[in-house]
Order: sequence, then structure tokens, then C-alpha cells
Amino acid sequence: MIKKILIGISLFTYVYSQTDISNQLSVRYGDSDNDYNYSEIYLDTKLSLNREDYRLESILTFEVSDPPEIGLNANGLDRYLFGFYNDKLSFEVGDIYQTWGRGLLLNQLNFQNLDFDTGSKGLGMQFDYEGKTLNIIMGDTNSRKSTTVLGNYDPRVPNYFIDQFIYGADFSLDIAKFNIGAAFLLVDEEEKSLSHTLTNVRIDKSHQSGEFFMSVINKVSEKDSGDLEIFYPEKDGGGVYLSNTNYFKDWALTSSYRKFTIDVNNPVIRDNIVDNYGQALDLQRSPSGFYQHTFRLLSRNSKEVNLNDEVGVEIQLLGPINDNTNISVNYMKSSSSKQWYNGSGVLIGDWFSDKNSFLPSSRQGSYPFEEIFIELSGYNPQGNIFYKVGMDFQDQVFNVLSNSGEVKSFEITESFTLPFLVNIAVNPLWNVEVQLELQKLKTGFDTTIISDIDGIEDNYSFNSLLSEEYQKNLFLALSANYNQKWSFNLSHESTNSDESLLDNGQDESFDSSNDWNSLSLAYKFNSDHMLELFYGSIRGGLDCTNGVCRYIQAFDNGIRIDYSRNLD
Amino acid sequence: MYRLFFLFLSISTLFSQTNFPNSKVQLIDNRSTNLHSLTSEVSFVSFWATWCIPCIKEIDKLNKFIDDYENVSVILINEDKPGDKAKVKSFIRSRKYPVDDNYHIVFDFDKKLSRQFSAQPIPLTLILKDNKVIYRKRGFYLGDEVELKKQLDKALND
Repeated sequence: MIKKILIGISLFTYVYSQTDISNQLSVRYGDSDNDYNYSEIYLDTKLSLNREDYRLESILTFEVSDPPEIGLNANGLDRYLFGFYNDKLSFEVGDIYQTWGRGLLLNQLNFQNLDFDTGSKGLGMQFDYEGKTLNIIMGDTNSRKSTTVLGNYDPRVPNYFIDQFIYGADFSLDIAKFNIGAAFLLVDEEEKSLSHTLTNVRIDKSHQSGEFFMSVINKVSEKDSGDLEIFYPEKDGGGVYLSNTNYFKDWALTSSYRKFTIDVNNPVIRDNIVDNYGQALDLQRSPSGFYQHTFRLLSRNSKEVNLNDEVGVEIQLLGPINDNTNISVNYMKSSSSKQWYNGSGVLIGDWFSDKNSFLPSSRQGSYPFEEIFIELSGYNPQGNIFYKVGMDFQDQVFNVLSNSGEVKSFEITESFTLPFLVNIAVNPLWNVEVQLELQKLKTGFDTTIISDIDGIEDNYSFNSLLSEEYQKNLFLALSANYNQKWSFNLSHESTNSDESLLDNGQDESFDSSNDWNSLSLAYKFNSDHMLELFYGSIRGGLDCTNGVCRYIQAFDNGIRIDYSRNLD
Repeated sequence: MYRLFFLFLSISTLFSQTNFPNSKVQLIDNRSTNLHSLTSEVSFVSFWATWCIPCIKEIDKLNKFIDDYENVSVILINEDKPGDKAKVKSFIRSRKYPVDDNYHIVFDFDKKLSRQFSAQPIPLTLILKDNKVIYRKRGFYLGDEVELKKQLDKALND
């Protein structure tokens, strides 16, 4: 018996001497006057056995939430992964997240704060051999969304579910300083009698003075009508993305061009994610297209690349002005691939289209978007003050309501934003940060009734979606950190024009407040062990994480408690 | 299920992660390599992204003093999305990050390293000695570089 115990202890000690275990615990609670309540517990448990020539790993993620901040209630094991890794092979079973190339065909993501998860439960493999890489994936992908197309819309609770079985492979190899890749992915949506075939080729070249990248994609979607006498045509779409970077000493100029026409639809059905069976899949992500803003007000104006129908260019110049200051100048322009117009003055009816040129159009019937963003960042000569200051202009047509010979009506947004941030290390104990953002925004309907009578001018009108023609927004945040332990934050946001005109008492998610104030206090027990208490209100709006955006409702006059601990 | 949940929690707290994995990664010049080929006796590792202001501040400060630590390897693990690869390269070039045989930028596009180290929210900074994590820090405020230098000195002198 003693012998068995000793052998057992020896084995246990041997295994665990090479085993790492870590956990991350996160507990979140929120309660507000507008029923934005949640309570969530997450635990990530990771165990890995590290040997000289291979590694075994398991990740288990538990979630207990009732309700979560966003998404559906959960109680138990949410995700798992078991993996084997060595120099040439990786083999995974469980929740797989793969990215092929730069993600145009496959880029699986998990953003808890947006309830966006496009991972697959199944198998994933990667083989590497002398500059050649083969990726294989097979599994079930279950993603979900909130959409106004269906009833019971709630920005926090999904009402549209997508279940797919995916399988495919990606191969890339290095040839003479080029990296060339090709991939295919087959996607079945059994419940909808729908199948998609995606193919991609790409080329990547880095050199001393810059880099070049090109990716081309094709997507074919077929829907089986079954016993119904409905004909669903095959939808064949595609896209191309090009980017080129050149270095001039310490300066870098990056320019990119994209044309995506995966599922081109007229203005009436364009945003219908439920019925347009040819649309791009959530597990596809376009390479860079728009600037990813970190400032609060600008982030709310963020734009996502539309893989279904978009032509766009992006130019970015980055460089140092002097040893302490950097500048970034960005220009972005996009539009749909076609200009849409209707035959008569009615708001609904038949829609026709003209193809635009290969460049983005400025014509209002083409959903034009244009942005210029300039940012300076740097330090004072002593290095204890960091600042960031910017200037942003945006001009966008959101929606084409009518574009006929008699009436032209477009939903538009124009904005001008000045963001500023300064961070000061006052002394070795105190650190203070101030963030100030000012924004002037116009959003509403631009309508022109065209006169066909000589001597009578066209009748132009603008109907704001807000209670004022120009919305003036202010965001101010002050934070102080003491000794890397205590953090104190105060934030104030105000507007002269709320969303009450949009509301009509129909939808509780519209916020009729004009100012939002909050304060929070956080204590760090150590670097990975923190408790934060929050009281106040947060304005709702678009929340974007790494190119994925979602509308988040306001949090009105409530408390939040966040506790997180890394249990190493 | 709650029992299972708390059983895992209890067992797991008894052990700690110390090893830095020898995972295969892609470098900024598109080459693939194993992480252990980039580390030295003492290494400085940071998870960062171009949109993360505290990360940029930390790296700017690191770049001011890292020349004094010839024997320390720097590995900056980038958490931008794969489509931003060109922008990351431009960013590094324009901010004069001293990429060389001892200063590496690696991509973590599939987020495997991020998941393994629970790196979100970033920055997460690790100091390694003989490929074992001996110091771990999340977040960065101006002035924190003093503590980072102290930890590097300690790792080199221990």
C-alpha cells in the first residue's frame, strides 16, 4: 500500500513539476434604474503540460450569468479546448478559433463584451514544414445577433441565431520572399437549407522599403427550396483587397483599396440580415478599412467594413515630427459599388442601379462615407507628460430613402470632433489623466423636392433626427491613480439634443437624458487582483472592439461592481 | 455544476503557471519561429496593440532604457487584428522601435498566447528568467517604468 502511495506521489509530482495551471476569475454585477441589470461570473481554467518537444493544453471556461450584461443566460461549462502542440503539428479539439491569412475568408473571434463569438466546436489542425503551412478546420459554429428585422428586438438579448457546420483548409507557402496562400471553406446551414462555398487566394511580400498584400475572395451561396415552389437563385459574390506600405526613412505611407460585392442589394432590403441568404458570413472579417478610434465620442461614430457591397480606399501617413512627437494623418473614403435610384417620387417601389467606377463614389445614392482624422501624440522633454490630440471630420449617407427625378431623400450624418487626452506623472506616487472631447454632429434627413417648372427653385429641407439641428456633445473624464493601488475616476458627458424624437414611447432602448455622470473607485490588491465600484450613468451607443461594432443601450443611474483575479 | 465550478477553482489555486511556452509564432518580417528561440536568460514580454494607449506609453518608456540592458530580450506580442498587419508594421517603423536580434515583435492573430496568459485587458507585462515567469504586471501608468527597471535588475542579479 505504501509502495503504491509512493509511486502515486512520485508520478503526481513528476507530472505537476512540468504542469502549469492558471485561472482567471471575473465577477460582475450591475443594477440600474432602466433595468440594465446583470450578474455574471466567469472562470477560465488553463492547464498545460510542457515537455521539451511538445505541449499539451486544456482550457475550460465556465460561465454563470442570470442575466449577463449582453447575451443569453448561462450556467456551467461554456467553452473548452484540448490541444497538442509541437514544432510541426498542432491538433485541437473543442472551441476552435482560426485565422487564415488576414481574415478575409476566416477570422474567428470571441468578444464577450459584444456577445460576438464565431468560434467552432470541433477539430482544428495545423501542419508546418519548411515554410509550408496547412490549416484544417471542421466544426459547428453557433453565432447570434440582435436585429430589428425580427420581432422582440432587444439590444442586449439576441433574437436571431445562425447555426452552421463548417469545414475547409488553408495552405500557404514561402516562395522567393513571397508568401502565397489559398483556402476554401464549405459552410452548411441545414435549418435554412443553405450552403456556402468560399475560396480565397492571397499574396504577401515584405521587403526593406515596405510591404505589399493582395487577397481575392469568391463566395457562392445556394439555397434549396425543398418542396416549395420558390426559386432561389445562386448568389455569386466576390471581393478584392490590396494594401501597399512604403517606408521613407522613419515615415510610413500605407494605402489600401477594397472592392467587395458579396451580396449587393437595393436600399429596401440591403440591411435585412435574415432574408438575404447570400450575405457575407460573420466568420469573415475584412482587413483594415477604417480607423479604429480609441476616443469615446469617435468610437461611437466608428464604421465597419461592409463585405457585402463596398468600394473603399484608405491612406495613412505616420511619422515622427521630432524626438518626442508623432503624427498620424488618415483619409478614408468608401461607397457602395452601385448608385441606387428609384423610378418615381414614392419612397418605396422599384429600385434601379448604375455601376460606379472602380473608385468610391461621392454620389448620394451610393452611400458615400468620407473621413479625415489627424492625430498628434507625444511627450514633454522631461517625459512625464503624455498627450494625444486629434481632429476628425466625417460625412456619411446612412440610408437612401428616395433618389428619383422628383424627390431625393437621404439619411445623413456629419460630424466634427476634437479629442484631447493628457496624462501626467505628477510624482512617483500620483498619476493624473484628463480626457476632453468636443463634437458637433448633424444627423437627419436631407430632402430635395425637384421642381420641373421653370422659375421655381427646388425645395430643400433638412429634418433632424434630434431636437436640434446640430447636436453638441461633450465628454470629460478625470482620473487619478495613487501608488498603482487606488484609482479614482469621474466622467461627465452631455449633449444639447437628446434622442427623444426617435423614441415615440415605443422603444425603451432610446435614452432621453441630456447628461450622464459617473464616478468609480478601484483598488488593486496586486497587478492581477482588482475590485472596482461604479455609480452613475453611461450614455448608450455604438461599442466597437477590433472592427466589430454593436449598439449598447444606456446605463441609467445605477451601480456596478467588478471583481477580477488571476489565480496564479 | 456549481460544485464542479468551485472544485476547479480550489484545485487550480494550488498550482501556478510559471513556464513560458515554446509556441510557434510569426515575426514581423513574416518568419515563423519558436518563442524560446527569442528569449534569453532574462526576457521582457509585453502584450500590446496599436490602439492601446497605456501599451504605447509602456513601450515608449521601455525603448528609452532597454539599451542599458544588453542581455535582456524583448518580445512584444501584438494583439491587433490580422487585417491591421500593414498598419502595425508602419506604426513600429514610424515610432522607431529598435527591432533587432534581441528585440522582437510577434503576432498573436489567433489569440492563442493571449488566451493562455489571460492577457486581456492589455497591457500585460511579464519578466522571464530561464523561460519562467517571475514577474507579472497588468496596466501601465507613466512612472511605472521605475518598477519595471527594478524588476529587470532583480532578475539579472538574482
